[in-house]
Formats: sequence, C-alpha cells, structure tokens
Amino acid sequence: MDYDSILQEQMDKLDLSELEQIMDDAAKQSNGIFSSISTDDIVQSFIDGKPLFDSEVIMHNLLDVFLYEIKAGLILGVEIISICIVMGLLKNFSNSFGDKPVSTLGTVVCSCLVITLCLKNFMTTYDACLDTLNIMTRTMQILLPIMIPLLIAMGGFSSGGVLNPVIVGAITAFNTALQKFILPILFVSSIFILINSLTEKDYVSRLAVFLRKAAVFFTGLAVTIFAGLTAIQGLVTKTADGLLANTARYSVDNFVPIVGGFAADSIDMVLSCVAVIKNGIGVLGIIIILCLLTVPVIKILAIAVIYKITSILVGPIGSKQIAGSLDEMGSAVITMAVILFLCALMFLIFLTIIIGIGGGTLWK
Amino acid sequence: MEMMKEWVKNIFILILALTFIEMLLPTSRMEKYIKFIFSLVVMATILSPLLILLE
Repeated sequence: MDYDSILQEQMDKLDLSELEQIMDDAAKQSNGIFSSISTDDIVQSFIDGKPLFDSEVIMHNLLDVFLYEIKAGLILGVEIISICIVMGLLKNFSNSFGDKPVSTLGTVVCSCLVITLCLKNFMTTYDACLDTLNIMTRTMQILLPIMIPLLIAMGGFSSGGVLNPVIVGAITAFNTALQKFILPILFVSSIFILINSLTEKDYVSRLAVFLRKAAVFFTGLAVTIFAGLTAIQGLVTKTADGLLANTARYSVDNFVPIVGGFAADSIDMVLSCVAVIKNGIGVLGIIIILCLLTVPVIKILAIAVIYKITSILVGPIGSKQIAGSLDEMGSAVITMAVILFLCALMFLIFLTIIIGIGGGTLWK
Repeated sequence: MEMMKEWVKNIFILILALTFIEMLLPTSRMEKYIKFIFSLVVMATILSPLLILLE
C-alpha cells in the first residue's frame, strides 16, 4: 500500500463540490489573475514539490486590472472636475457683476451636484465591500466543516473540538460587527465629510474624521482579539493532541501482539496522508480568500486614487472646501479597503492556525 | 440603528437648509448673530443623541 492509493481513497470520501464551485466563481471573478485549481492539483504539487503559481503572470494581470479600474473610474473624476471648473467661472463672473447671493447660490447648487455624484459612487463601493465581506465569510463557513473533521481524523481531537466553536463564533461575530456597526459608521462619516463641503464653517468635519478613526480602531481591535484568542487556543490544544495520539500509537505498538508494530507504523502513514489532504484544502481556502480579496481591493484602491487625483486637480480651480472633502473621501475609501484587508487577514490567520496544527510532526 | 439613521438625516438636512437660508439672509447688522445662532442649532443637533442618556 503506497501513499498514492491512501490519498486517493481519502480524497474520494470527501465532498468538495461546494468548495470547488466557490473556487471556480472566485477565479472567474478575478479576471484571470488566479486560475482555478482543484484540491487534487494542490496535493499533487505538494508531493512533487512544484510551485502553485506563475508569479510573473499574476503581477502582470494585477497591473492590467488596476489600470482597467482606473479607466472605469475616470468618468467620475472628469465629471467632478468639469463641475468645479463651472464653479470657478461662476465665482469670477460674480466678482465682475457684484451680485453676491446669486453666485453663491450657483456655487452651492454645484456643490450639491458633486455631493450627489460622490455619494452615488460611494454607495457602489460600499455594496462591493459588503458583498466581498459576505462571500468571504461564506467561504470560511463552507471550509470549516470540511477541515475540522479532517483535523479530528488525523488525531487532533481536542484541537478540533475546541477550535471549531471558537472560529465559527469569531467569524460570525466579526461579520455581524462589520455589517451592522463598522461599515455603517464609515458610511455616516463620508456623508458628514460631503455635507461639510457645502458650508464655510467646519460644522461636522471633526466628527467625520473621528468616526472614521473609530471604525478603523474597532476593526483592528476585533481582529487582534479574535486572532489572539484562537492562536492561544491552538497552542494549548496542540500539546493535548500530541498526548492522545502518542498514547494510541503506544498502546497499539505494545499491547497488540505480533502485528502491533506494523499497525502502529501504518497508523502513522494514514495520519500523514490525512494531514496532507487537510493542508491541501487549507491552501485551497487561502487561495480562494486571496482571489476574493484581490479584485475588490484593487477596485476600491483605484477609486481612492481617482478621488485623490481629482482633489489635487480641483485645488487650484475650485473651492477649498470641495478639494478638502474630496481628499477626505479618498481617505474614507482607503479605509474601506483597509477594513476588507484586515478581515481577510483574520480569516488567513484562522486557516494557517488549522493548517499549522499537526503538520505530521505532532506525535513524533 | 434606526435612531442613528434619524440623527444623520437630521444633521444632513439641517446643514443643507442652513446653507440656503444663510445665502438668502439680507446683509444687515444682525447677520453675524443669526449665523452664530445657526451654529448653536447645529451643535444641539449633534448632541441630541445624548438626551437618551439623561432619560
């Protein structure tokens, strides 16, 4: 009996169709940055020692997607700049005619137009961010019921038993916190930033900046707490697993007469094969999360770049308020990318903890 | 959640309205004071969620 047949047998017993469906979707969504890989491929390339990706192609595709998104967002920038040019003209006309209220009215109406454009754009970005968050959470929820039983099957009894509720709870709590609390706060902050561009006074700009910083702070705090708790649990249960597995192996070796030694050796082999499969699925999960993360983050960053460049260009022609608020909008959009990134980081930490537990060296 | 929506909506509409009213004000000696009162109103609206703590 060689490892190939054991691996094949174990793989056939697993139902990975749902996972591979998500992988296909993610690969399709990423515009060819990542190609779709199956668990078989990953496990094979582990054993053969081959690389999984061609990094040059990935870098090239990433640049392509970024430039494409910049092009798509350029319309917004051009619209805002043209409105601001009209605003500058209005101001100059009013100085020569001397009719103050009419020109200020025109300026405010133009500002309202800019606000509408920005809000509409921000809504799309917000929805994209929410969608990505949800699909990443769903991926984790599909991935865990496959990985945890494998972890238990390879001897990680206490790890599997303790980590499963901890990680599932952390993921659900984090998702709810982001959806109901942190992202709405970010939205409110951007509304305040925009409405502040109408007035000459700083009515709510401090409040907006405060809300944005609070959102980032709470995300960071949540990630640290959840990831830290899980990491500590993983460390503690790892030793308990070693104890259990060693005891089982020792009793088979010594209490079963004659064939005990062989049986103990083959237990090791089967367990290692399960570990390879578990790690293969874990790596697949990491790749899916990265696939899902890349395109939305690039999109959001492209929009942020558009906001920043527009703010630079509006600076000399338009009013100071509009330029400032566009700059702040850019920061708000970047904050959204940061939150998505932190969320993905936490999921990656969870996956690596599960992969890290018992990589075949647990009971040696 | 519902309360927060209400609060943000109030601030948004208030600032929008005040901007238009400020423009239409006749230029007089009282203009500065009226603007100051407007600022007070905005401050009160920002603070309005604190009322719940008092109840």
